[in-house]
Amino acid sequence: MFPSLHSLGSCTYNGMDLTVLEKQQARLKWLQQQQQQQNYVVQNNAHVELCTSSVPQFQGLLGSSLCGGQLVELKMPEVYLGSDDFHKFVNFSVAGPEFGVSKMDLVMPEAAADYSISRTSGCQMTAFQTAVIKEEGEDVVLEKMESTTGRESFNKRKAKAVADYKCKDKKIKEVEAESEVKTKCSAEVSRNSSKEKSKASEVQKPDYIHVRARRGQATDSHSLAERARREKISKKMKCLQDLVPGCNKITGKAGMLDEIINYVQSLQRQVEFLSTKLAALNPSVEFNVDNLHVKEFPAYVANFPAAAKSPAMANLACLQLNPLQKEAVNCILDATMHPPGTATEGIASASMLIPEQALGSSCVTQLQPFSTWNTDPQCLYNVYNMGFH
Amino acid sequence: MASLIPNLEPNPDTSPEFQRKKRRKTEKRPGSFDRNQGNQRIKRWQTEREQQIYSTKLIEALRRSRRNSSSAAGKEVRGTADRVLAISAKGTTRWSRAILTSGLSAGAKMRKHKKANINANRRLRKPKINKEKRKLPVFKRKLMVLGRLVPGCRKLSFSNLLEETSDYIAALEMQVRAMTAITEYLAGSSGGELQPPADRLGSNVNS
Repeated sequence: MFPSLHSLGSCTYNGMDLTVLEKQQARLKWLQQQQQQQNYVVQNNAHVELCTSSVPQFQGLLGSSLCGGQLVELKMPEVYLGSDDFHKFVNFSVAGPEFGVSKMDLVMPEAAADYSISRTSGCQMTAFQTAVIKEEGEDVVLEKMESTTGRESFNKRKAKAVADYKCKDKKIKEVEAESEVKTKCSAEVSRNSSKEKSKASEVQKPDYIHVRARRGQATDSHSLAERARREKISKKMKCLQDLVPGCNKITGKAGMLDEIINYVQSLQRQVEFLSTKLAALNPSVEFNVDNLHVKEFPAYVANFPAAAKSPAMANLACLQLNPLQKEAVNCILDATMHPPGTATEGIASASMLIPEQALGSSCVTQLQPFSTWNTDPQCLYNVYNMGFH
Repeated sequence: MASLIPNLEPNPDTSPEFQRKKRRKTEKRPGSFDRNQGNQRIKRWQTEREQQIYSTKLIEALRRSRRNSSSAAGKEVRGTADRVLAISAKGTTRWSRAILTSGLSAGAKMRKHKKANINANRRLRKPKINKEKRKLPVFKRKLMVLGRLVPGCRKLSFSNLLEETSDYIAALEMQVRAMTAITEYLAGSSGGELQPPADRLGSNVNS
């Protein structure tokens, strides 16, 4: 079912006299197969996004001068293979069962085709280089199978596959410089994997950050450091964008900074306003909180008919000064913040601290059917009153 | 987070295939996990539990300050609120440490002295002729403004400033939420309980 790549590889190796067209066809096929793999591998969620993102990436890539200005617009509708060739190179056979069924209906966008073709031509590929690429592709596949680099890096590699196209040209040019093919391929693959590591995260090698130069970008240390710094900053800006409302539309650091400054100022103004409000309410802060203070409880009790029990209750209540006070405060907070259900529980638990032998279980049971709870603080007092009946 | 100078060193012992790779030491070990830590820290401010803890501490602090000084100025309340917020941050961030240390009289006086000196020098010197140059570093100006807004972050690098700002914004949001809840509750309770508390107060005084 998958005669594909081996035959292809052998073809390219043996027949160094492949015409340009066939080379392009081969390249296109390999590209399609890559994309098919992307569609197949579903172990990672990343792939789901990848499939959807790869197409726009291709289209985006077309616009950019990938080949360093050597973009040659080759309209090769005839390169879109007739089905006879296509079937040959349907899938990577090496992949095995996990690459599943061939998706014949996968139609590469023409942009991608142009991209691949122009890359092919723009980079002035010789047959030798094509062979190298092919073998590299094979090696990549083989690596995957052997999972030397592990599942994750494989998936990462797939995720970076499109971006890798950018650097592969550079690699290929380097291949020209050096004679040995095999070692270079393996080196490239390993470099590829380490590039994934650097791009994905710095977790695997915490002491060094491997920064990879991308195609068309300078490779000296300063620009690399600059780029890493810029990426850090952009990450942090994104994080800030989530925090500050209304920053999604704004692009650019200056605008973002303006928004951030405005937001911080508004927050500080709000705090200022709230603190003056609190200061105005402050007499009642102490007052209200102290109302729930256990010292007050004897006063409550004195008002009620159950005053006979009060001496014992007062003593017991005073003993429980501190925990009940804290509970009271917590109950207020619960009342303001929690949904009603939990608030009743909080208050019920606080009330239970009051010695039950004095109150009797009847009071506690009265708290449960308190279903019409609202966070109206008036109810708090009612609850406490109930507790003392 | 002071030493964040990237260290670029070529490694001569690397094999030729790694020639094109540039290595740079990370600032510190935890730096590689900084993203996760930073996000966790920020998310902490958004939990309800944190808000509860803050509210509790704030109420306690307000009562204590009320007992100490009878005047309930808005400034005091604000200072208390900010200090409690800084305490809740547990000293992990620069702004929290700056808030806590800003209360010290030495620091406050130093800043006043500095301000006085700068202004004096300015008047003595020649007035700046070209005012256009002042507006040129627009970006830097904004950075300075932001640095002044976030306490203790005046002379900070851009990336650190952004990090501090994000944490500060999250903390401020929590502070606003908590204080809103407290004022709502107190306003509600004081409005609704105007009558009965008076009785109780009277009875308390009597007994």
